[in-house]
Amino acid sequence: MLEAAQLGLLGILAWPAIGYLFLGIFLGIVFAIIPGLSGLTGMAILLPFTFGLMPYEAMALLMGMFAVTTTADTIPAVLLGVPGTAGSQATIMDGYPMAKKGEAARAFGAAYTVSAFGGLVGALCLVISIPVLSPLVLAFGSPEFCMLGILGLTMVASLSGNSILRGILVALLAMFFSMIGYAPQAGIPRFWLDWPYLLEGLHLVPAVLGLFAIPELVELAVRKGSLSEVPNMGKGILDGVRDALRHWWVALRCSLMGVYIGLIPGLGASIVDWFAYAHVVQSSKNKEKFGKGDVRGLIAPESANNAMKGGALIPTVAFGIPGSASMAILLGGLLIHGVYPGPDILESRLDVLFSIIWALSLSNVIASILLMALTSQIAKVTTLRGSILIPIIVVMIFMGAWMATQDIGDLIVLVFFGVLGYLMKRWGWPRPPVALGLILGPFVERYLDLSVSVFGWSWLGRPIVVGLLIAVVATIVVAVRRQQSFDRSSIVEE
Amino acid sequence: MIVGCLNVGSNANLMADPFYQGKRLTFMVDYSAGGPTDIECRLYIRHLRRHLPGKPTLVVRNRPGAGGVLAMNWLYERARRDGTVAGCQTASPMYMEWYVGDPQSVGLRANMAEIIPVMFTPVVSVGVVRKVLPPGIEIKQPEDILKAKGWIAGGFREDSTKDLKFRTLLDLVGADYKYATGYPGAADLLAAFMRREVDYVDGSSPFYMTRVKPVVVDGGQAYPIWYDSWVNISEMEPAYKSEDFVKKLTGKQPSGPLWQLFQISRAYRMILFPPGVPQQAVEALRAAFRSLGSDPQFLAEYQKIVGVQANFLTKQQDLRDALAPLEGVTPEVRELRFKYTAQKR
Repeated sequence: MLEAAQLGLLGILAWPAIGYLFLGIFLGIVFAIIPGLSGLTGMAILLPFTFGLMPYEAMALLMGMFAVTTTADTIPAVLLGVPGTAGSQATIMDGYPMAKKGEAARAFGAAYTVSAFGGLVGALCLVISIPVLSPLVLAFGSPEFCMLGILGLTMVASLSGNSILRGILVALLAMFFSMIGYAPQAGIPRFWLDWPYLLEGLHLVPAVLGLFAIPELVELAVRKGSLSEVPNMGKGILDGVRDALRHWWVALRCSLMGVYIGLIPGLGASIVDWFAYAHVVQSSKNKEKFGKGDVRGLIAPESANNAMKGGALIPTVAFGIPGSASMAILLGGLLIHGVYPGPDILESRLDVLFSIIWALSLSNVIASILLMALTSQIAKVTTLRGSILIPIIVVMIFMGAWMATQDIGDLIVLVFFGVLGYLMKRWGWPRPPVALGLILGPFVERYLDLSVSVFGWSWLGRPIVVGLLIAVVATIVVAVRRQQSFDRSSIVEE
Repeated sequence: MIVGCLNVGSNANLMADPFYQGKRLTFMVDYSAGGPTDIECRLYIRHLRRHLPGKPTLVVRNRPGAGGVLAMNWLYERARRDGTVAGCQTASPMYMEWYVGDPQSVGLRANMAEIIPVMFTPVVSVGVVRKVLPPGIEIKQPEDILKAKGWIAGGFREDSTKDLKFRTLLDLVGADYKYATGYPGAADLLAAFMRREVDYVDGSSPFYMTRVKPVVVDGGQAYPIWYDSWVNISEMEPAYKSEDFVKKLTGKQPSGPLWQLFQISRAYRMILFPPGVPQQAVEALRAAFRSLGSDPQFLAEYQKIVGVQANFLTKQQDLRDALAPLEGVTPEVRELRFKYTAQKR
């Protein structure tokens, strides 16, 4: 294994592989900054260009692009309140308020540090797990996925601010929306209004862009002035780095959570940041500042979404089961180069696997350093007048939504959720549970049906399911008690 | 109706200047980037330019969604009809829906009778079962599956032609199995197989050769029982070819409504033009694929990636033969399909 690790490293550091790595990193940063253009899109575009390359070069290019998108997507999330990719939705919750307080540079310093950290944790977990990949991946089946989805839905409580009831209602509405389109099991379209666009269900990207970005845009337009509500830049990058070091335990916990969720096919970046954010809110004693610019609310999702990538590689290389859509493309790249998942890559082509691991690690670190160097200039965007920023943001939002399927339906969904998000913000209804409901609704439905179909109701007695069920109950109890405590303190104040 | 659309191009004269001189030809793929359809289409496109007079720029775009319905509607309604846009799709479910099903119920607006087929290539499918099926039956030959009871076959969706194919085949031979559906993709089915959640998986030959065979068949967990192909493929042994599978397990030649339903569920990767495309474009692209089908460099790469020999149907008779079973569908077969897919009508 050591020899394979050395070969893999030398392969990535040699020219032209190292050149392809830097090219991938550059392209990954560009794709991440533009909403709607994700690492998935970038990898799909790059894949054909890898056909003529050697395996190390191909992996350097693809991994360079793949690894850094969840680092660079912080830029539009923090500066503009627009998620650069699906992995930076939760980053907006505290990252954008930090920018409004003039702390954009501090936010970037913290985010880039934990992104590199999370990426390295993910890579390390992949290396450590190579000897035990099989039982690790196979321990989770449809019943466990179902219960994990239900556990994820209980996190609605943590993301509901001070009203769990509102959060639950919003999540239920979102789950109803998630039923639009084909049922997972049967070819029966639901609620599609005879509009073929809806057959595939509501696309997440335009929905999330509308829900989170448009209300902020409206607020910026109404407020006038610049994005930052303070005239100076506030604290700088090094303060953010110190924040990351001070909250190392949050970063580590959330990184491990990211690896764990990355292991599970079908969850991916769009949910891992919410899970991490909800976890840090749940587990923190002082919760008042979350949603108002608490740096922990940035550290949690940013470390998790980078670590997730190492986790997603585990089922991909062990069994050819892509841990995410991007992994499906990486798998395609491996197959085209004659490298097969399973025994082939784990035994006779371990050097290629290590080239992937090294590329993942190096890309995370290089991207973080590069972006840190540019941070002070990038953060100055917050001082631009709204009249300059707003047209740019509008273009980015609409382009991002259009990239989903290049169908007019994407724009209609964007506007619909934009109006909904604006009204929700205005009337104090929490928006994060909408994202949770849209993502987890189909997931829970599919795996509940499969669990009952394959196991009958005995699936509820499986050990890991029982453990997760206990976690579900505990989460609900804690959330209810917190709500009761808040209600009591509100009454006392009155 | 099928004959009419195939006659386009029959009297074509190639112009002195190649049709595609100085042009860009876009191929619209109906599934996501990185999937089997996309990989195969990009493989064609990498080599096709050498065979297309005029050496046009070739571009691939993806338009996934609704099992290919969105891409087919787009091709029919919005694609330019000047020969510069073609579909590279696994469109056989669309044909089935059009001729045998209820296209309105799935939002299919394209008139498949007007779509112009350029090239079809059959998709080879392979089915494998767990080496030991309940109640403790060790599978040493495909016939042994008839001794097993209550094993679980995993699938995508009731209306999926892939699922329809294996369900009709297993029902034809009288296998005692349970059908669990809802797995999002082939890779998820393989994972479910490895977790012992399901006892049967199937997929196309690239998936079988690159993932199923090395991971579970060579590892002794699974046994291949059938494959569907136009030729015998030694790499698929000890599985039986579908006709032999039915014959050996039932003692009879395959026939009847179930067999017809199996035959019309066969999948093809297709190159298609929207209606109204100039004859020169159709003929140029058909000739290019004919030439590609005998290019040694392409064939070697195709065999490596797809796992079988290339078989491109570009002659009008071959294309007609591929689609003809759909026109000859009896009401009984049509009714059977509705029953299997639980589709509303």
